[in-house]
Amino acid sequence: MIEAKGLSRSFGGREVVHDVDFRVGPGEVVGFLGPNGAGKTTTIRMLLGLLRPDRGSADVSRPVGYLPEQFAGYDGMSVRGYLRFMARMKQPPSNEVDAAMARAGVADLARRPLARLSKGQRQRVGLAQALLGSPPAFVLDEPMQGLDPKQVVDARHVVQSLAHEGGAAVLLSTHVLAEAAAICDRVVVIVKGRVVAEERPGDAADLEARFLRLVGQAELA
Amino acid sequence: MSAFARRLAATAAALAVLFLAGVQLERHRTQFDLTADDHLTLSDQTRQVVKAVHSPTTIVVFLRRGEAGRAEAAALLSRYRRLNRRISFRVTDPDEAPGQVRRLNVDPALGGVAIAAGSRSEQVPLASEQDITAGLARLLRPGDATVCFATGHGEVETGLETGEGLSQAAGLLRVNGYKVETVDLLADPNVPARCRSLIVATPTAPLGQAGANMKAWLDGGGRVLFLADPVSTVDLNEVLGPYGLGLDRGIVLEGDDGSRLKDDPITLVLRDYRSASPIVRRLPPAVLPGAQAVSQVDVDQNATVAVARSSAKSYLERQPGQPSFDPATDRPGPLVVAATVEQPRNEGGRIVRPRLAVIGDVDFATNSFLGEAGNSRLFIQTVDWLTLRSDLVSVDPNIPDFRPLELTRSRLGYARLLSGVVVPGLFLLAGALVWAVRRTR
Amino acid sequence: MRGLRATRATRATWAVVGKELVVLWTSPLPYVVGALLHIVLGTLYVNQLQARGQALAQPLFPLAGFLLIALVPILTMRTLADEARTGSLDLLHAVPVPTRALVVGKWLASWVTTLVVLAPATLFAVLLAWWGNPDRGPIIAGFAGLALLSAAVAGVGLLASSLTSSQPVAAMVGFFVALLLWFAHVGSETTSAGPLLAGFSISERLRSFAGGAIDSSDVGFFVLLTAAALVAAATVVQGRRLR
Ligand SMILES: Nc1ncnc2c1ncn2[C@@H]1O[C@H](COP(=O)(O)OP(=O)(O)OP(=O)(O)O)[C@@H](O)[C@H]1O
Ligand SMILES: [Mg+2]
Repeated sequence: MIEAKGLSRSFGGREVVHDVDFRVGPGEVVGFLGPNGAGKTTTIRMLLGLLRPDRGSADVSRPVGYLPEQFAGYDGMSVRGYLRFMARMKQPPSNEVDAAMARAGVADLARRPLARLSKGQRQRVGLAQALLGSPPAFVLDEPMQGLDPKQVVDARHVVQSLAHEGGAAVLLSTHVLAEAAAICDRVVVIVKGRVVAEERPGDAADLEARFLRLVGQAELA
Repeated sequence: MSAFARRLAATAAALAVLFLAGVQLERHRTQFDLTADDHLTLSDQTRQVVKAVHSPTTIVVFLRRGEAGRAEAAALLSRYRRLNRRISFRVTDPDEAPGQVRRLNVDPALGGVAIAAGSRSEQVPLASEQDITAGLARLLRPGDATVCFATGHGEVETGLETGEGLSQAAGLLRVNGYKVETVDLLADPNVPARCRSLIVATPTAPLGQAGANMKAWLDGGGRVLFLADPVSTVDLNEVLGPYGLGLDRGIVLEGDDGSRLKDDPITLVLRDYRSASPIVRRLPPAVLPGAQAVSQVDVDQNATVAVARSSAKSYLERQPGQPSFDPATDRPGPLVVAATVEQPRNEGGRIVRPRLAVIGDVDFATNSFLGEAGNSRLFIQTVDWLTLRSDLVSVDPNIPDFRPLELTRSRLGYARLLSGVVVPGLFLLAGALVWAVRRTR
Repeated sequence: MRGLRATRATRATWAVVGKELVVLWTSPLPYVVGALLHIVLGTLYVNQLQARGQALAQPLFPLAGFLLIALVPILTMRTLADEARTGSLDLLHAVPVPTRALVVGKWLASWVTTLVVLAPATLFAVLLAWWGNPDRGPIIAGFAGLALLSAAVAGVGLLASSLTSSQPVAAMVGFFVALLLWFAHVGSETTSAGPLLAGFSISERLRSFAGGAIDSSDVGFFVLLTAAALVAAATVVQGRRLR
């Protein structure tokens, strides 16, 4: 379960997240949508305890699989070495390195140093890292960025199966509305730090129309 | 935020605890000396002396900034302090602390070490274990250590402030913690019991009864310094003879340019200190203007020590009117000009230690010459030796061995190759290997 | 429960040590630092040997010590600064990995790396023993002193690295602090706080080791300095984590 309870945060007197409330239940995939600078990443960091909320609190089942907006590992390490390390750091430690590699599609990269991976390959290593230990909750900040179309399809399957088969709560932020429409059970739309809608995604074209209207209204307000 | 504030407080507390632990460690330090010869450890004699220090004592080493030995001095003195917290020390540049220099009576040109406790202070020339321990021992000396100058038989006077007088010598003794008295042995030939040592500075009238009493006092464990001089014809051999010493009439003429003042065969510059006697330990050359020779009469067990000699190019001139070497009468050098005797005896179950020192010249200690080179130290170290327990002045410190290393050209080349090429090369090679292996992946 | 937490922290610490070692030794840093260290150290020390003509290890230690205070912060500059910059630290905080394990693990890896980099300096002891008859005590004590000094400087470097996200800044701050500690005794005679400051002088502490003395207060000083640096670093990491 992932729950935001009235989260608010300002930077330098400017409130970038205001009273954000939502809940992601077990077995649910929730899309976190919003324009650039809406406060998605800020909210996510507060959920994970990486940023101190000014008000409100977060409740996230542990352990939590986290894929940050800009994933970074350690350049000198091989993919397997890195995942092994992360597996040992998890609480509880995991021994599913190979399974995670296979699921994230990086099994054939096992011995490659992280420094020499392409952007998409590295992103998949980040996903593999989040999968370690089969956590009950996932927070994925733009997990599909940089992936090729085939990999996007695979990754969507993985994300859906995490919730629908694994029973995990999944929150993922994205700018690709087709993706949200395809895999999310629900979307939370945030504009200028405020939640403006929380609804079923519907089909992609419909979602896009609603999204643009919501953003436009919020800009005017 | 309050959680972090608490954490900050906890960190501050932890750092404070670590700091206090460090202070405690400084207080209660134990040291393991891993050196083969234990030269980081103070000698047993020093430990004895240091343990006896019961009042706050400050040791000030005067060394200029940039002068060698500052760090070593501090390291040595910290060992003293570690043994006894009442001892504190400073290494000070005399140019920066003129007030201290004056107060402690230090010659700013020579520098040196001042050891002070309360109103008393001692000076020693070097920040070495021998010197500092000796200085501490002198400070520890009971305040009633009285040095008596004999008078009544035409001796050189301590009250005389002209060039020929001994007023400065007496002053030097006072600075070093002695009480100085004169005793008129003509009026009462008995040496008073309060005298720890007696200085007889060139009597010009026969000693008579006083000589016999002096001998008896010496036999009973007395300490006597005779300052002889060619100008006097008084016979001191009555006292000296039984102790294996004598005075050879005549004047020592020095032929070696390095051992006399320029073109002055009468004024000896003593460099030949052949013994390990504490009297001449680390003594700079002393200047003796006109000396008589001390002869060693070999008695049974040889307890006499020839402390200083003239050079091989000197001789004893018996007729100063016609100064030329006459093998028939004159004695060829090197000639002993200072000697000591210590003859411990068991007297009815009690060990008595008579000590006797003879120097063939009195002028070196007079106001005119006391300031020359090593003269004042020769004087004070002689009186110290007479007055103090010898184990306190003749400290035998633990000294590191000399461990020669012959660096031949080939060895040098080898060492340079190893450290400058092979080892760095291996590092770079290893780095290149790692890089190459990773590149293939 | 406490026991369980302790073993978790210990396990995490060792995992961090292993990872840091891999990261460090797959970077060019230790190789370049090692090559530099030994070229300079070898040249200076062999000159000293030549000048003294004695089988003395003593001059090796202040030379090596000074080189270490310049080079160890370079080995440690990456540890926390770069993880903060790239964001990989966030992943660990999200787990969350105990800060203690992070700090101690990174310090331990830096220390071990420093010791490995320094290790060939013992070849000089071998040469001395081969060509002469050196006193073993000061050699053993001197290397023990260097090891302790490395631990402390690694701690200081780690603390510097925790304060910033920039590696060069971390290296410079670390070197600067270590330099202050190295010269802490200078001028100590003229100020009233001097004796206290002199107690912080790592060069004076090292000198005592190099002479052949292992003094409880010197050992304690390095241990406490290391501990203080790690405690401070842990607090900084905590403070920067939640902003
Ligand atoms: N550390 C920070 N200091 C100051 N301002 C910040 C900080 N982090 C984020 N912001 C501001 O907060 C706002 C929200 O940023 P955030 O990264 O949460 O947006 P986002 O919704 O994730 O956008 P994007 O879609 O581009 O990732 C932005 O205006 C950003 O400039
Ligand atoms: Mg974002």
